Amino acid sequence: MSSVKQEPFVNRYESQWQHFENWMDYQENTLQWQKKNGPDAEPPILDDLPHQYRQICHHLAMAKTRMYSPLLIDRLNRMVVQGHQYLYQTSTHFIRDIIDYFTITFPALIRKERKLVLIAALLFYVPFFGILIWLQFYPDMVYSIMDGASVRSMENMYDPALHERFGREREADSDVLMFGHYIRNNTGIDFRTFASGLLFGVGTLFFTVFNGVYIGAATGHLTQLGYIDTFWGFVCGHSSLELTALVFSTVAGLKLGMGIIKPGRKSRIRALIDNGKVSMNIMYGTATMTIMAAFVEAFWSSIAWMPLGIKYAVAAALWSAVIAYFVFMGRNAKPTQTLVELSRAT
Amino acid sequence: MLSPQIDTSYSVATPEGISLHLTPAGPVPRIYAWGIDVLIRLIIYAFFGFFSNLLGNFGVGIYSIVVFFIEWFYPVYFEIFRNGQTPGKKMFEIYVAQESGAPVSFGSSMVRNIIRFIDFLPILYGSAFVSMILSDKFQRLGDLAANTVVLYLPTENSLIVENKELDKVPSEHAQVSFSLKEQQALISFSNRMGTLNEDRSDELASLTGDLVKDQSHPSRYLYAIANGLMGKRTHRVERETNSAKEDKPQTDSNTQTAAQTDTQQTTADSENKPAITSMTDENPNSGDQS
Repeated sequence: MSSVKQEPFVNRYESQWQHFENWMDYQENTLQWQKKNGPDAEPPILDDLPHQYRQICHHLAMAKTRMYSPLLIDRLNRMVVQGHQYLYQTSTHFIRDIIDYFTITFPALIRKERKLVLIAALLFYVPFFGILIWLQFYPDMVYSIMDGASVRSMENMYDPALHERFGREREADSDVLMFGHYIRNNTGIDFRTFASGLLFGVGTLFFTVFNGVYIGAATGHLTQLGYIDTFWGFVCGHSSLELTALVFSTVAGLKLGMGIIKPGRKSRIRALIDNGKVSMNIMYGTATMTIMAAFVEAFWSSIAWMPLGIKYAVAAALWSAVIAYFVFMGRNAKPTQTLVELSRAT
Repeated sequence: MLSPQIDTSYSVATPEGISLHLTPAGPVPRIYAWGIDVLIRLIIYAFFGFFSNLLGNFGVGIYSIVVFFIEWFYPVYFEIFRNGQTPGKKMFEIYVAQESGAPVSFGSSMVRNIIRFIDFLPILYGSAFVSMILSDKFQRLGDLAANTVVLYLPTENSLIVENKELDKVPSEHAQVSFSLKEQQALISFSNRMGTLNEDRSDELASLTGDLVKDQSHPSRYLYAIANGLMGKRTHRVERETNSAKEDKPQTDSNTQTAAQTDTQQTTADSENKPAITSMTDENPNSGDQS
């Protein structure tokens, strides 16, 4: 007879496999392992995982070629899948990655996608200012954009006559209420705008123009009524972060859609995957900005006794800071790992 | 030549020169898993909603934040920190991985879970369902964009059980030699015998015709042959010394060569094949991958 039979093969390596399986179980779920082996059991130690893993790969290859029993092949395959998962998991330097992201990666990505940023900004601000200006001349047109109830409740929110009595527009606990609401609502809008880029970019276009029209209508209507101090005083502070984030989620959505519409020399699916990575990296920063905007909106914009001058000054400072951040931040820095990987892929 | 497979498994080549065998999960277990996850989230919402209401506006604000994070990041958390398994997926023994079989990365997990919004459209994961049916690895749109798949956990084959009683059957050598496929068919059969009753296994065994013509217990006879093929218990001492010589720890680079040599040797043995490959319905094709 010729090759090694299954039984001696198993006998020979059984202890090595058992040790590997035991170690894998421990790594994957320590609690369960301790339940099985008793709380005081000595944790298994495996020296040189790559080497052990390669050997087991080799055992699997031999078992397959020699057509050993499917039972054995299944078991070896299971060990290899576990080892593969463990060995090739992405190790992350969490804090370092976050610092790198905000000091270099995020602003650099925005600069790199400046064409899309321009398009996205036009998609939002043209309808926004268009409607805003239009409503100054045809105030009634607001009712063809919003329904009467929404218009009335909006008017109530910013009517100066209703607010003079209060020192602060809201109590502190309702600041938290609104903070939660803004986070959930606004970040949700960002995510949806981004995700709907998958529909060939059309979904993103729709959401962006819709937001431009709707926000433009609200702003235009309240401006036309002359609620300048209450409305503009309230929104100016967080507008820089919130509206810029809105535009960036459009950029991310368009980028995603471009993968499908204009894949270049790649397959559509590959282009989609690669662009998806860029988009996601834009979205991390965008979501952060929206949450920051929610914070400003809930805890700063709502302070009614703050003199308007200070509010406008802070708003101007924030707008300058946001623009300066994206224009200058990390300009001359060495590209981060993420940037290198992304530019290699796209 | 094998007929094209109708199952959905696929193989991924690794740097170690072997192929991982992965089995994507279809819509059904995923719908169940999703149902469980929805239930869990509803319970959390209800629980949290009740207590945060006691705290007035402050509580409601916190509640909104919690709902926001659970809405969007509940799957991400479990996919990253719990081996690709939300509680629902764990229950149905499926998990999320990169298409390459590697653990899902944070970025991919975020992408697939934000695009979930589109998968949900127009109603109850309509797009996801269509996308899964059309793609060959059951990927929903989020999976396609994130380069991920939902796989079955590699579990033990429930059809194959070891049977303590049958282990007592001694080994035997048939007077004919078998081709590789026939050998594996015999071994698969012997592995499965534990799940079959005796009449049924005899019936299957007698399909081999001439091989078991004169046997009173055809299945036991085949089991004995399989034992012999696997090298169980016959001339154990002699065989182990043999194997020690042959199975010297090999370095990684000569895996292929060693394996090939073995194949050639074994194939050289096989002539006078009895018709037994039809006996088991499992098609032993794993050897074709090397």
